[in-house]
This record gives sequence, structure tokens and C-alpha cells, in this order.
Amino acid sequence: MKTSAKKRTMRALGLAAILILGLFATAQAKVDGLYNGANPTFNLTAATGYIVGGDGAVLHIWGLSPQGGPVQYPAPTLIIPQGSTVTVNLTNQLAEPVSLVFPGQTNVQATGGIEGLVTREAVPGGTVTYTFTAATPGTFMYQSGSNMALQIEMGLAGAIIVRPAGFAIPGNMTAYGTADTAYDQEILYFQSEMDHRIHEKVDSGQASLVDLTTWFPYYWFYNGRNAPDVFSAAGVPWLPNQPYDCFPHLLPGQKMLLRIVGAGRDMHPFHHHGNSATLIAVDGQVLESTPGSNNPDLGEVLFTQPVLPGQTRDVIFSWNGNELGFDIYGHVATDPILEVEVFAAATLQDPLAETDTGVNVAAPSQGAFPKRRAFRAVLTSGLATDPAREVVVLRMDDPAQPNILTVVKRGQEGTTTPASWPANTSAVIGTYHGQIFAGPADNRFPVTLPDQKDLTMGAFYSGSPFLGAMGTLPPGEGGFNLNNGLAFMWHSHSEKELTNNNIFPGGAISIAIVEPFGTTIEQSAH
Amino acid sequence: MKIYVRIRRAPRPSRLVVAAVALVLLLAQGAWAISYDLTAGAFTKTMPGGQIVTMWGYKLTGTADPFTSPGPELTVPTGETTLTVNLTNALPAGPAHSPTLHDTSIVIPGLIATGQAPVYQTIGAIPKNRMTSFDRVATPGGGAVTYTFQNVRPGSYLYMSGSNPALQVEMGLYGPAKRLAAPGQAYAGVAFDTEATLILGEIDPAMHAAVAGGTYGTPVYPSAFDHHPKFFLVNGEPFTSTRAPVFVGAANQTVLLRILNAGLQIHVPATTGAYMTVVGEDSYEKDHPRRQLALMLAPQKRLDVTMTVPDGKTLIYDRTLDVVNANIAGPGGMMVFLQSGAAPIPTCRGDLNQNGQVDASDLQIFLDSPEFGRSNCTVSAPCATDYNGDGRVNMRDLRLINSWVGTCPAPAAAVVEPAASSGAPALSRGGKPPLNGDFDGNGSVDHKDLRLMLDAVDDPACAAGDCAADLNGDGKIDTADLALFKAAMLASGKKGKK
Ligand SMILES: [Cu+2]
Repeated sequence: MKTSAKKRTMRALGLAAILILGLFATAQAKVDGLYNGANPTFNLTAATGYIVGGDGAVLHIWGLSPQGGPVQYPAPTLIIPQGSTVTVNLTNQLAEPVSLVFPGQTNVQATGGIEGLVTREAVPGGTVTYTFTAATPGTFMYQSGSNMALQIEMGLAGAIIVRPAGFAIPGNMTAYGTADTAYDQEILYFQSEMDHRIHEKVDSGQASLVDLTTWFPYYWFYNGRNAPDVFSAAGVPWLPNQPYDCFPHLLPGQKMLLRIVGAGRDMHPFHHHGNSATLIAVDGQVLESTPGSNNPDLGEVLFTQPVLPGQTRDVIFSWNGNELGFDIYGHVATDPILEVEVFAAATLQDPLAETDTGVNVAAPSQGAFPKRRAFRAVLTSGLATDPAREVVVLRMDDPAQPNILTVVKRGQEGTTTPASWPANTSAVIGTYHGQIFAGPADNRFPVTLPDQKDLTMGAFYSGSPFLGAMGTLPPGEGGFNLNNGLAFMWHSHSEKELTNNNIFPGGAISIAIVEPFGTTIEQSAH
Repeated sequence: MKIYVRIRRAPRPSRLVVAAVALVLLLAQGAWAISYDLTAGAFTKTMPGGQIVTMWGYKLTGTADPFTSPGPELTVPTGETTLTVNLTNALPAGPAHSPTLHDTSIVIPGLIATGQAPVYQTIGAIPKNRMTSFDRVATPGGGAVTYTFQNVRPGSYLYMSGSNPALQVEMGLYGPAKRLAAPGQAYAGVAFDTEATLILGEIDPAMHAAVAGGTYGTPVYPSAFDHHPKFFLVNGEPFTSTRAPVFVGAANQTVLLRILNAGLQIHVPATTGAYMTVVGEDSYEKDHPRRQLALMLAPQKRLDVTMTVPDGKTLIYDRTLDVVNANIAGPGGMMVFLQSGAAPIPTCRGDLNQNGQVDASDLQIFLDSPEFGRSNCTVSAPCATDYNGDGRVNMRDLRLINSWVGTCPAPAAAVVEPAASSGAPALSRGGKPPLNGDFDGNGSVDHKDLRLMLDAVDDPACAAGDCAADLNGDGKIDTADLALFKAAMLASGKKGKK
């Protein structure tokens, strides 16, 4: 379960924060779990244990422990190569019969144990064996099939990730084996809740007093932890029964696969700030018009994911800052334009004449530009590295004529009458590249940051609007954002769930960090 | 009674048209409508744990059928597009503080009744003109209204009360309706082999008690705002260990499931195994059916789902985990098994846990079953434990299963009711005070006394009032006496231990 050695990208100020906050300086986007190769056997034991809430509360749980390991909340994530025949031996150290079901898996067989309501069960002290074929790739769940209302609440549920054939880290990271399901980073969001009053009764031998119809949760978990514990690294020794973290990191322009699992009883509106994202699969089934193609051409672009109980969702998120309105990368106009900085581009249909008040762009990219609003663009010879470029502000006034972009402003000072267009101008690129956010040298975008005395700092604030740059911070501020990335809260929009037993902040909060280029991000081991 | 009527000629259906005539009419071309006569009324239901709740439901008017919730399924034939419902209100009168509370109506979300006319009333602590019914109301005591729904598309529908619906639908006034695109097709080209309807519902017994006691709408139970359900139903029943599976025919066929939510909460029908394919939603076909393991089913939502059901049992359950019965430990609530393969035949009659013989645990299951106490078993809504087939599950059936303990009677064999032990001296009151359960006078109240008590069920002496087994002396031996007996048996056991 122990993760490999942490790659630490610390800076002097960050180190102080680490010592105070007990935070490992890692940049990670990975899914931890049990990996036993092809055709694996997992030996799991159902047992009682205790976890720690985000408020320090000690909470009684029923979980599964991998062979020789501590009992886990949630149950271990099983990482399985596609096509495997999987064997799960479940040993029961609880006081009531327990079983497991594997929705979405094929050819599930149960042997041993006793016959239960839904599947064969292990009696206290006994063992039951399940086999199934992990026939198709995707994100799935496994959970108790016995006394479900109580046992799933107590913690008997976990995620299953089936890797597609040919999967490799790095080199061939896809969710479903196809180009449009490829990703650069991945993260698990296993969502659950807890009514601790039930757990207290069970812990004190009063399970018979539990009335599950009065269930009312007080704790909300991502990967078995409440905020702020989600930010501590996976496998930290002070959370022995909650080995998984939830702290996604990605670089600008990268694709991040979110594997979201609704393991609790309530629907949670999961909101990934920063950008909308594409839902490519539900319950391990790609949203496809051609059955079996695993090509997510019916994917849905959503800003909030309604995560149903019992549902899994695979979502691809990306962020690149290309339409922020300023250059978050801190470039100057003559720097090379990066692909992620471009929100639209097209070649010109005709050469520009000095008297032109608009540019005429060629098909097929003409519709890619924003409609009916001014945007910043550069006119170049078509080479992104060509320093001979003109900064303009354009607007598509009539979406029915997407080839005509009216020139609203020209030139560094915003005049509309420069001496001449740059030589060999042949392309227009929509970008905020080189647009300075603030500073005395540039009065086109006059922003002065408020005085520090007027600010409340967040643990993720770098003090600078630029990616990778650190501003001046009061002592002790920042610290959770060691590489000065951009932080977005990814959270439940049932806002009361952002609490630990009625105390804000906590619960279903996580932070995604867009790290500056050059940051090394640790990836899944398998 | 199900009848067909020619729209252009007869706005009111004739109750004399018989089914055979209707079939002929159905085959003829022309604008024909199907008509159903429904009566809304109250009944009682025994919940797991023994609690008896007042329910409201429907039956086909003029029949001897019991009221049920959900009500009878209304099928609009493939060739029809008009559905007429003649509603009669046989509910008890509303309480004095809110006399229109039990006025009722029928609405079918997705369809509009011809001439729909909402009802407004000036009511409430702060008098305001409020809508109390989405359509014209039938008043208690036999009031009647006809609702005509035209342009019925293929799909699944939920009919329900449109009057004070937060109350009346929860009380049980809902049922399924459907129309096929063609025989064996849910929508054009969406084929299936067999179909089943699963309607979800909830019961808050406190709300039902308030309605029965006339205190709904008072500080005792002000409104559905206080709704906290304790029982979660599929097709009107919570799951218990004796719940019969829904038989869906041979294995690996395509089963069409019509899943409707008549409850007040979101539920998530889910499977633990095979995928469900959502082919329709709210009576509209899906362009791109999705294969899912869990379905979002908001209140009033209607989903059409196809599923290949493998041999044996397949669980459909609510993944919001409303799969308990009140505070009773263990599985219950919103769960049902689909069963495919050969129709299930129990090995022995009365072997409720199917362990090969009738024993004490089967007696316990019998007594705990929500069927115990039912008096409205019919062919369409049968009771598995109505052993003597009299439409009731009562002390007589208990006596039967009790007499089978230790044996394995063939399910097909004729049921012979044990003769009453008429005149059994130990059971005569003979002017003496009741024996409080120790009928054989051996000093303890035990299973031997239960046998004597059950044997006295048909004893004429009991009807005459001279019967020690009639512990409460009301002239019959019933569940009330059984409850007294149980208490006496428990007390006797405690004494014995001292
Ligand atoms: Cu948000």
C-alpha cells in the first residue's frame, strides 16, 4: 500500500508550511489500489475498524482489509487488467453474514459459504469465494450484498478499475482503449457519506436500536477521507485505515480522467471548478453511437456531475487558461505561443490591405472564434514563433457570417491606424498570449492587487496571478500549493456537505491544482 | 369492468357492454376509446412487524375485488389513442376542519384530460386562494367524474390522484397505465418478450394514522412536510423473506420493465448484476439507449427499461438503500426479485423458507408476513399463505400450517381443514373466569395450548360466547386473541424461569 518515494518539489517557504501542516510536498494524480497482475486473486477480510473524521472524530467502520494489511475505508480499489479471471476470497471477521456483489462484471460465480438472499455469504469466521471475468474496461464498484442498508453504510464498498488491453503507464493510458478516452492524469472520486450515530450504536453493541429510516449523514467522504485530510498524501501513517488521498494535479492542456463512484445513499452534485468536462462513460459503458466501439461520440459536456448512488462516471477534464483574459503563463508578446494558449486559429482568405477594417478567415476553422464578443488575437505569418506579429482585438458580429472578424482595436496602444500590417501576414490566432495582467509598464489592463491587509489568504493562494510565480505572502500563508499552481475547488454543490459534523470547512471538498509547466506529477503505479 | 365505447356516439360508457362485444369492436376500424371504471376507497394493510395502516386504493367499479394500491393496471390497446376513466369516490368523508380533503380526481402526467379544470379554494390559516386539485373532483359518498385522455402515445404512465396529491398519492391513490406501439413492441421497433411493471411508493404510518383519525392538517400532523416514510414499496409491498418474485418467463429473454416512481422521494432502481437498457423516459423513446446499473428515478418519473434476465433470480433494489422495513433489522423495503426459468414450485405447501419441511421457523415467517391479516386475496392479487382459499389469511390458515408442522404436504394435494374440537371441555368457560391461555390446565401456557386454541377456531361454542380460547370474549377467535395468547405465553415463560 505504501506509495513510492515522494517526489518533492519544495521551496523554502513551502518547507516551513510542511512542517506546520504535516503535508507531504507531492504533486500527484494517481489511483492507488491493489494490483496483482493478470488473473489476480484478492484475499480480503471483512472486519471492524476505526477511521478519523476531518474534525478528529473517531468513527467506527466495517471495512475490508487486504491480506496482512489494516482494514480500509473505503474497501481497497481493485486494479485489474481487462480479460482477467478474478478470484476474490472473502473472509468474515464480522458478527453477521457478509457477501460481495460485482455489478457490471460478467460470469460472476460464488462458491463456499452459505446461500444468502442475493449471493452466497461468508458466515462469521467463514470464507466465501467469488470469481468473475473482467471482460470490459472501465470504472466499476463492488459492495456488500448482505444486509445492504447497514453494511454499505458501515463501509463495505470499493472501486474496481479494469485497465483496457494494451494499457501502459506511460505510453498508452486510456480509459477504454480508444483515442478519445486517452488521458494524461487520472484520479478517483469515491464518494460516500456517514451517519455517525448509526456507527456509534453498532460500536457499542446496540445495532438492534438502529433505525435506518432515520438515516441523516453528518460526514461526506472522497476516497474515504473528509477535507482537509484529503490533502495528506496517500498512505500517511496517521491515517492507517484511510490510505487514499484525493488531491488531483495536472498540467495546462493535459487531459485528466476523473473516475467518479457514487457509493453512498444520496446523489451528490459534483462540481469541477475551472472548466466544464466531458462525461465519456457511465457505469463502465462508453457513451457511444456505435455499440462496442468505445468511441465516446455521445459524450456530454457538463459543468456539474450528478453522481447517483450505485453509479460510476468517467469524465475527462482539461484546463488551459487560453481565454482567461490575460496571459496566466506570464509571457511577453514575442515569446513562442504555446498550443494551450490558443483558443481558435485560422488562415486568412485574402491578403490584408491597409484600409481593411476586418479580416476574412478561411474555412474550416472560421466558426471556432467567439461569437458577438470581442476577443484578443494576433496576426502572424502562420508561424507561432514568428515575432513579427500584430496584436488585435476582433469580434464576429454576425455568426451567420463567421468568416468576417471585425477589427475593434489594433496595435500595442490600441490604435486602429498603425503604420502597416506585419509582413507575410497569413493567419489569425485567438490567444491571450502576452497579455499582461498588471504592472506599471502596461496600462492596457490596469489591475492593482489589493493590499495584503485587505485580503484573507487561502492555503492554496500563491500570492501571484501567474502560474508558477510566487507573490509575497504573510508568514504562514500558502503552503498547500507548493509549486504556485492554480487551485480550483472540486466539491459537492450540496453545500451543506462541505462540513464535518456541522463544522465548515470539511466534508466533500477537494482541490485540483493546475501546476506550472515543468512540474513532475506522480502517476498511478499500475 | 373494462369496456370499449365509440367516442363520437357515447360520452358515457354503457356498463352493459360485455367483454366479448368489446373484443369485436376492438377489431373494427374507427375511433374507439377504452374506458375503465375505477372506485377509490379505503382499506387496511398489515405491515411487517404487525402494524396495521389505513390505505387508500382503487378497484374496478362494481366488482367484488378488494381496493388495492397500486390500483388496477390500465391498458390502452395498441389501436386506441383515447383513455377514459370513470372515477367514483368511496373514500370516507373529509374531516370537519378540512371537509374537501378527501375529494379526489385522476391525473395522468404526460396526458391532459379533456376539459381539465383546476379547483381553487380559499383556505389556510392565512386565507388565500389556493389550488387544491388539478382537475374536477369526485366527492366522498359516491361522487363521480369522467376523465377523458386523448392522444395517448406508446409508453408507460402513472395515474394518480390530482387532488391534494402530496397526501392522497402517498395514501395509495396511484396505479400504472400503458400503451404498446405494437404487440411485443414498447415503442416502434423496440421489441420485448415479456413485461413487468414496478411501481415505487412509500408509507409513513404516522401520516396514515392521522388521515384515519381525522388529524391530518392539524398540529398533530400538519402536512406532507412532515413525511418520514418507514416503509418502501415495490408494487405496494415492502420486501420480506416471503415476498414472491416477479416471474418473467424463460431465461435470457428480453424483459421490458416499466419502472414508475409514485413516492415523494428520489429512488435509484439498481441491479447487482446485469445491465438495464433505458429505452424510454416519460413515454418518449430514447434515441440512444444507455446501458446502466443504476437509474435516476425522481418522483413521478417513468422509465422503460429492457433487460436480459439470466436464469434464476435477479435483484432490483433501491440504491438509495431504502431497503429496510422501519426499524426491523435486516433486508426489506424497496427490493424485488425477477425470476426467470421454470415457474417456481415449492417442495411442500407451507414450507415458506423452502428447507424441505414445515417447521417452527415457517410458523414464524407466516406470523411475520404482511399477508397475515389480509382479507382481500384474489386471483389477480393472490395470497401465497391463504391455504384454505377463502380470500383471507387468518387463524384458519394458521391452524392449517400449524397442523402441517413436521410434515411435507404436496402443494397440489387438497387442503383438508381440521375438524373443530367442538365441545372440548377444557375450552368451555362454563361460567368460570377465562383461563388466560392455559387451556389444558398444566400450569404453563405453551404450544399445546396454541394447538387447542387453534382447534377451537370453528367451535360453535365460541360463536355462542362460551369459549375459553376466545380470550377477549368477542365471540370469535382471531388475531386479537392470538396477541393476548402470545403475551400470556411470554409471561408464563418468565414465571417458569424463576
Ligand atoms: Cu462549485
